[in-house]
Amino acid sequence: MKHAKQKTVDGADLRRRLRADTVSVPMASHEFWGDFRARTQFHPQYTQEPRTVFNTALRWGAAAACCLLLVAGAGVWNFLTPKALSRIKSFDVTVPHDAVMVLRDDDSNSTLLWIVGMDEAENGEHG
Amino acid sequence: MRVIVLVAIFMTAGAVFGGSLSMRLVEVSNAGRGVDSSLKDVASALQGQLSFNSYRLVSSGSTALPAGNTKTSLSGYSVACDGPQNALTITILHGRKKLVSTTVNLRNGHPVLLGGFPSSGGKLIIVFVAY
Repeated sequence: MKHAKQKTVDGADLRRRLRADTVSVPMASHEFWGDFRARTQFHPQYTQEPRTVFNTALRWGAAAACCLLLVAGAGVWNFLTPKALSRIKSFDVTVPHDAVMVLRDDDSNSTLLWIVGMDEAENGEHG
Repeated sequence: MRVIVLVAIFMTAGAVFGGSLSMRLVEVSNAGRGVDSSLKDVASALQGQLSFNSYRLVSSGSTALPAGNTKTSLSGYSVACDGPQNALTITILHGRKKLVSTTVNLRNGHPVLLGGFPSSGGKLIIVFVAY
């Protein structure tokens, strides 16, 4: 590692040098503020970029990935869950009959309520 | 938050506007062969559940869902519907005689066949489909 070369001066020499140095005169107040106001009119002003984890491309990518995940999840859910068919909750056959069958067919997604041996001529009981 | 509001709006709209219920009186028999062209959408249900050769449309009608004790005439049969789609009470009368009453949970596009009613040529069934 290099060290800066140091120059030694004695006290008399230092005082002489300080007297010789010209101290810069500060800008007059009206000049300073005039300059300041002029600078405030510059466009664009410097603005610090907000610090974000994702930039725009990454954010769009993440959003697209989330959408794909949702669609895929819905597809898997639809595939895994059994199809809900229409359902017979209750029935009451009020004419004479031999039997009642309730059948569900997954292939055609249909539900059948079939009354066997129905006799419309007479009043009957519930089924 | 916006998603929740949109879902709530759609659910409310669905509950308010509802759907419709199609009902078709079909004569099934072993005389003849084939399925009427107007029954194409339920042909798989008819042929999957029943083993007749002929499926002929006799009459058809529809009502709105949820039903408010509506009555639909189907060639001598009368179908009364009351209630929401998931607890719809269907009562079938022949003339003034009550034949059967049932409560069903109807899924859109999934037919319910209700039948076994005597007919001169075979049997009669009523096909219900909610849309």
